[in-house]
Amino acid sequence: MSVQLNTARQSPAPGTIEPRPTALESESEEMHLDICARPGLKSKNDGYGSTRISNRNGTSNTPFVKEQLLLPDPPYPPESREFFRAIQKWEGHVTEVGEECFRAVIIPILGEGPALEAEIFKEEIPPDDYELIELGAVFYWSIGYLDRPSGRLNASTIRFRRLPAWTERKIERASAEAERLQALFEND
Amino acid sequence: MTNTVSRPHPSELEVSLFGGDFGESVVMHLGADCWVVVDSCAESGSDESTPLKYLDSLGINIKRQVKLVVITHWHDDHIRGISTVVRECHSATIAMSSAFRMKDFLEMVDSGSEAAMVTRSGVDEFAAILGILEQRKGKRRRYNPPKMALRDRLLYRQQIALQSGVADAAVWSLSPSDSATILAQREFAEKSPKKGHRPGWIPSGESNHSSVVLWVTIGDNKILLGADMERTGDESTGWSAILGGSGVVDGKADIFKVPHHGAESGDHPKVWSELLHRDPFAILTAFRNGKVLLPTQDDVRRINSRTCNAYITATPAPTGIKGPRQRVVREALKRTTRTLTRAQLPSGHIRLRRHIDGPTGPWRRELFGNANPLAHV
Repeated sequence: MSVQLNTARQSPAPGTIEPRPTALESESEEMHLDICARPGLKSKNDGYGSTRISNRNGTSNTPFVKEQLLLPDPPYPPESREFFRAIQKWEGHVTEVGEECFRAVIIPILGEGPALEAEIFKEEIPPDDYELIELGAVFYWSIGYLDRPSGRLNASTIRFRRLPAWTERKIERASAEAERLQALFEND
Repeated sequence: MTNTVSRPHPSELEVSLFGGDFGESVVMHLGADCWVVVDSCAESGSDESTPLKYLDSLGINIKRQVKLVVITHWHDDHIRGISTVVRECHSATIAMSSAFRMKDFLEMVDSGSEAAMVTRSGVDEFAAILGILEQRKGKRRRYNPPKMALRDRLLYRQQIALQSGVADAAVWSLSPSDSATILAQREFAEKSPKKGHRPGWIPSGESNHSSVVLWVTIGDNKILLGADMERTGDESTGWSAILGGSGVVDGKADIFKVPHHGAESGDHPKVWSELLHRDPFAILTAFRNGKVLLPTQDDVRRINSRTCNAYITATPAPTGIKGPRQRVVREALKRTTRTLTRAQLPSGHIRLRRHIDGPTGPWRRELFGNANPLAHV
């Protein structure tokens, strides 16, 4: 698991008063993330490292989603007492791959703002995902806080979606489906 | 700026072009509450189809009064929200490029949709359209399959009743040519699934020459909608194939939807001399994708030199973003990205209207949102 961590510790220095939450932090607390990492909690999509996002009145905060959200693994081992609280998440797809950076369009799935176009440094990508950076690849980017017993860290993680590669059987099935769909262009 | 929600008179023609710097759609009123939608676009972060939203704001009965929906090609910037248009426009004839009924295209759609969870691409929209067609085929006793657009094919015809008589309205497709369809098939075959490849978002290709160019006539009024058609240098494809002897083009058009966002590759001088009146209304949308910005300054100069009536729905320019409020997000964005811009500008709307009952008056031009005269760009 690779997480880009900001080195700045957020916990108060000894002897100081813990600061009140900022407006942003208060706002973010309206989001409850049920993540399978918390002992005793089951995620909505068990086994897929999924995240359920709901606000206080129980309605979904996610925009139109084509299928059950399969978000990247939370950035901590399941047994730990660490807790990742996402402030902003995007789904992105790669539109161009360069030497140092790749270009992508990112669409918010949690948090504010319009769709953005970003040139992202490749060095921010976990080594395991490096080979997945190619035109059309889909990824998920989460930014938030990693709360640990020792303090709070800023965290940003980008994980690429790993869909199974095409097999002979799947291709045959797609081909048969395409033949069937051709009938939609004909009169009975 | 005038009121965008004023409905046209039954004897008034309308051509409306919508778009920001990514996305394009045309809405036409042929007269007598007979509407046509060509392609679809949506505002950034929304799946709501801009043309449907506009028709709804005018109080149009979308189910009954939209008579024709044309899908010019499958690229993301022409198709966002088009499945909703197809679903809502119950009585409309659906017309699309003949290349889309090919097995390779359908295989690409079947395999390429659902690669992402939130992002909707052209293949997702097509997958949704096929689902709607399947439902209709299962339910309706008389199923009308989509009309396949080809060179010189009549897609729609209607007699428009006016106080002074009847006007004949017709929508013809001038493309794709047979050769362009074969080229598109090759491209779709390349994009169809291959063993060992991972599914992903399918980027738009180079198949603009298989897009559907429309020739619209209402009485003596003529309109040319250029889709994303390009100049290919081959007599059997692109603009050369259209100029090489269309059997349906008679006369010259007053309005030209400039192809391919004003790009030089979409420009053919003979289109201006042979298919268009002098100083026609040339209307276009911008396009921004990565480093590509259309129209370029050269394109703007060229189009402005050909007509003094050119208008664009939004000015193509990279736009910075207002930094997110959260410090943690701001810092992560700064550290992780080299550049960050808004993916899509808010759209603009160019509207042209003209009364066709009695003596023909001038076209009335209205600009909304980010739309501007091209001379100001």
